Amino acid sequence: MSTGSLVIPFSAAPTDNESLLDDIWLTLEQASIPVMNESVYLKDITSMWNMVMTGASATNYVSQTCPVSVLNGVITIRLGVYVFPCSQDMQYTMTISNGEFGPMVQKDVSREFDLLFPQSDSVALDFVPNDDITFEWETDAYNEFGEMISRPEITLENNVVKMSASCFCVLRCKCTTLADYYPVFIYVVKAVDAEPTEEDLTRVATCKENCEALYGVGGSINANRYLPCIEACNKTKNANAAPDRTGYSISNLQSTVQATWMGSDGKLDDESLSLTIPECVKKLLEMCDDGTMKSPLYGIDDGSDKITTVYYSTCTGNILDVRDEYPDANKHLRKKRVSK
Amino acid sequence: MSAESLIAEFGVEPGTGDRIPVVLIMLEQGALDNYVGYMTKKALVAYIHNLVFGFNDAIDVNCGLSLGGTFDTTINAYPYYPDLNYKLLASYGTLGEPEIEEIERTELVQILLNNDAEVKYPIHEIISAEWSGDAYDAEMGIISPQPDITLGEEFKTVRSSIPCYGLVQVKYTTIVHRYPLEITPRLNTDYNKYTSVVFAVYDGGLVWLQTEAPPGAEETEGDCFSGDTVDFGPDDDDKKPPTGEDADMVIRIDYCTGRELERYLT
Repeated sequence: MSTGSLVIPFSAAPTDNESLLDDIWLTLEQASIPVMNESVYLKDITSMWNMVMTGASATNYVSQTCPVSVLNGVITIRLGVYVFPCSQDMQYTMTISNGEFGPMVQKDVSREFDLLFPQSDSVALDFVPNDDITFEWETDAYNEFGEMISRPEITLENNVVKMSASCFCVLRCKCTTLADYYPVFIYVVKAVDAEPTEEDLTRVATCKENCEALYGVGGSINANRYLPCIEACNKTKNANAAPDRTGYSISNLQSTVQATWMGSDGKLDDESLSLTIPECVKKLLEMCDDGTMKSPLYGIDDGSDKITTVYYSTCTGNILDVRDEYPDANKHLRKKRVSK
Repeated sequence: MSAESLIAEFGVEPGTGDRIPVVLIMLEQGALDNYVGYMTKKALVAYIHNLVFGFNDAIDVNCGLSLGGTFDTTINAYPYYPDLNYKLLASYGTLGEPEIEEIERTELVQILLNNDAEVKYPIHEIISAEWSGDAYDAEMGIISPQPDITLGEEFKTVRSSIPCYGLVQVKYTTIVHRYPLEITPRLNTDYNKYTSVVFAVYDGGLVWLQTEAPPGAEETEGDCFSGDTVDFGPDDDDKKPPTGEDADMVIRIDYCTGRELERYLT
């Protein structure tokens, strides 16, 4: 396999390309966090062990690598979003459903990846690379009948890598690209007071009444519509109102970033990105203010010889399922739905 | 201008004319073990045990990578003909010599008022094909005797002698060529260190497969022993909460106090 670098001829400067003028676009990408997918770290366990050994409490330990801080009951999650516009002078507007943006900075982002041509003559990248882009052939080029062909010429037009002939091949691509980076801060207020406020109760009651009027009452409720209605309604509270305090003690787990711009056809275009909350943050949110972790199992004793276990969502309080267990008859585990 | 007559020659260039590329092989990456790339609770307890008692015992965590961060995996090639002349190549990594094996599989396939049903792997030989339950015609009448099941024209299909609805349990053999693939992490890069595309070329076509590295390998090169990349496996706890889709009552419970706030039927 060849590993020789290729010099890429640029067929057109990004600013004078017609296709760019006709097609205005951008892509969004959440900034990677090294600890995004992990919830437990051996080094954190070691740190907690060391705290305990020195007499300190490790109950409220927060990993230093976790992008979160806690102050006065407010959890601040620090994330970031990259915007890759089709041109540097592209005008767009950023909004976020939960949280706020910090000041935008432009960053050169490095990229290195395999570029697969699956019997095609062009592959569109989701960003416009800088002119430092290089390609290395990782395979030879083949036609659709499995025959090796001479390697086609590679060109780049804005974000589209083109081959002079359709083929199968794999290129290793290295480049940088200029991105707009937006720091994101999401503020989460956890429940401190378990008692609902008057406003909370009014809102919940009003939502219930409105949604029942729309989607039925009791056994005739259309659950598929009723529950989303309740959830949507509860989210429409006054932005200046006190944060959720009861039953919804863990909130703002979802946040969506949206970019809006004027398309070449004069219509508004948009692109959205649902932010991923790192696992370590989720674990922190699941912790109550007294530092304890609540089990998702909530037992109900009705005086009979069975044990009823209610499974409920730790985030919404919604019942997920109810199962009856009979301790006298081992291995007799029955699933029973709640009767209407 | 020359007075010589011109002779035009018409030929068929590769990739043009009536030729149609054909798929004659199936590629698949060997499955990782359940807990590869994850810390099991057993290993976590062992780690805490070490901390408490000052031991330095090795922790049994399988990051899916060997010393130096090398990722060893298997590429399973299933040629549609046992004697298919093909070549397996990788865009990155080293492929070893294949081990050839004939394996037996049993699958339940559904026939939906047509003749053919597809199994997962190319069939080398059908050992048995039995109806699981009755076969039904378009009017949902039971067909008796049940239709015959034979090998279809395609490499992965079984054929019912008449169109019908029904389930057929097919026991068949398939030929697999198991290629070891060794991928060492690319140097001097923080991105996509383990990516590779494996492809089979043969007369008449080309089939490719993008390989997948173990969970967390791209971020850490499998250094999960030091404690940077630990997570519980997806199946580490057999008490999985239900999804709630079929719940018919909703009770809102304060998360931190466990107090019931409201309940309603769905």
